[in-house]
Amino acid sequence: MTEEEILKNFKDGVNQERSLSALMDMHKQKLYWHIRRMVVDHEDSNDILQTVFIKAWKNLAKFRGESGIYTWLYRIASNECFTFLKKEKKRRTISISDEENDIGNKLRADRHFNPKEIEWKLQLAIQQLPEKQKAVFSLRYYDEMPYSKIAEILETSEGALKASYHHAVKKVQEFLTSD
Amino acid sequence: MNEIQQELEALNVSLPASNKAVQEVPNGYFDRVNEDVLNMIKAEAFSETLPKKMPQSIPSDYFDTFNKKVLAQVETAPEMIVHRTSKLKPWALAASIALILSIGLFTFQGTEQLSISSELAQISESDLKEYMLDNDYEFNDYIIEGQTANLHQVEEEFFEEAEGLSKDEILEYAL
Repeated sequence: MTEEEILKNFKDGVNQERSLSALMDMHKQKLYWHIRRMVVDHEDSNDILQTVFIKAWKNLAKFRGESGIYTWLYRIASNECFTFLKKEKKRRTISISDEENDIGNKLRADRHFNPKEIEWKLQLAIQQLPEKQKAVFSLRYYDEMPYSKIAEILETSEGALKASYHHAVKKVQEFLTSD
Repeated sequence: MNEIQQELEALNVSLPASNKAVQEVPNGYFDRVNEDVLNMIKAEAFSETLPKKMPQSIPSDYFDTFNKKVLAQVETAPEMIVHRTSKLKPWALAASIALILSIGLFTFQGTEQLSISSELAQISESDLKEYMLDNDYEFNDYIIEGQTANLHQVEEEFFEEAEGLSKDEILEYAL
């Protein structure tokens, strides 16, 4: 099933569940990892990913197709992540122990965590980035998106995104080489 | 008459005598640009050496069972939960008004009608967005509904709707 067929089915009110399932099959893995890179924890990522598709279900019939569904889903996912991280930040400021909520500790808690492996070091480095840079890095480096698409998702100019990505890479490099 | 002027004359085009750039560039821009470009090239080269594999673990059947879990939730959900009864969602109006109040751009005077377009126009999109995110407004619902997160559009709608509201009406929205 193509995205056009999925969209048509939603607008016509037919085969909606099958269409949603097809949409999830197309995008769930990439979206999941984008979310996971942003919020780190699997359960939080799962909640956000489910929310993204439930919101898609509720609103696809009205989708006007100004951007592709893929871009639209990424935009919802990114904004859900930003909202989640804001709430987490607020929660951390009133928590007795900041340590238990520390995002780096969430990574270290993974049963496969190995601080000597470059993949894990990179994940720790990414978590040092400000939220927006983290999103830019995730979309550009891991999802290999063109800046024009990232600009649509994050509503930032391509020039600013390029600068943001290069700042992010530089910070990652500094983190990795200082270790 | 130089070559360029002769060429323009041949084309029968009249342009201002001076072709100097009138725009300004930031101080030191041309001194920095070489280094900036080199840094970008180095950053690109460095990023190519990094691994792309995600090391985190996920439950083995996570993606296989994911669709079923979502479908179970949407079966019980109403088809459309976002209804726009007004051109402007109350949260957007409340956020905008609360923002204006919080930064003290104007004060209420009795029950006079308010004209706040100009005051609101002074608030940048990023400030408005930041404020709404800070206050946990359902920003995404607006994105979904409008398919764009164009806050200028929110502001425009706000202008249309907020003009002429009484103090009591505004407070009712904002509270």
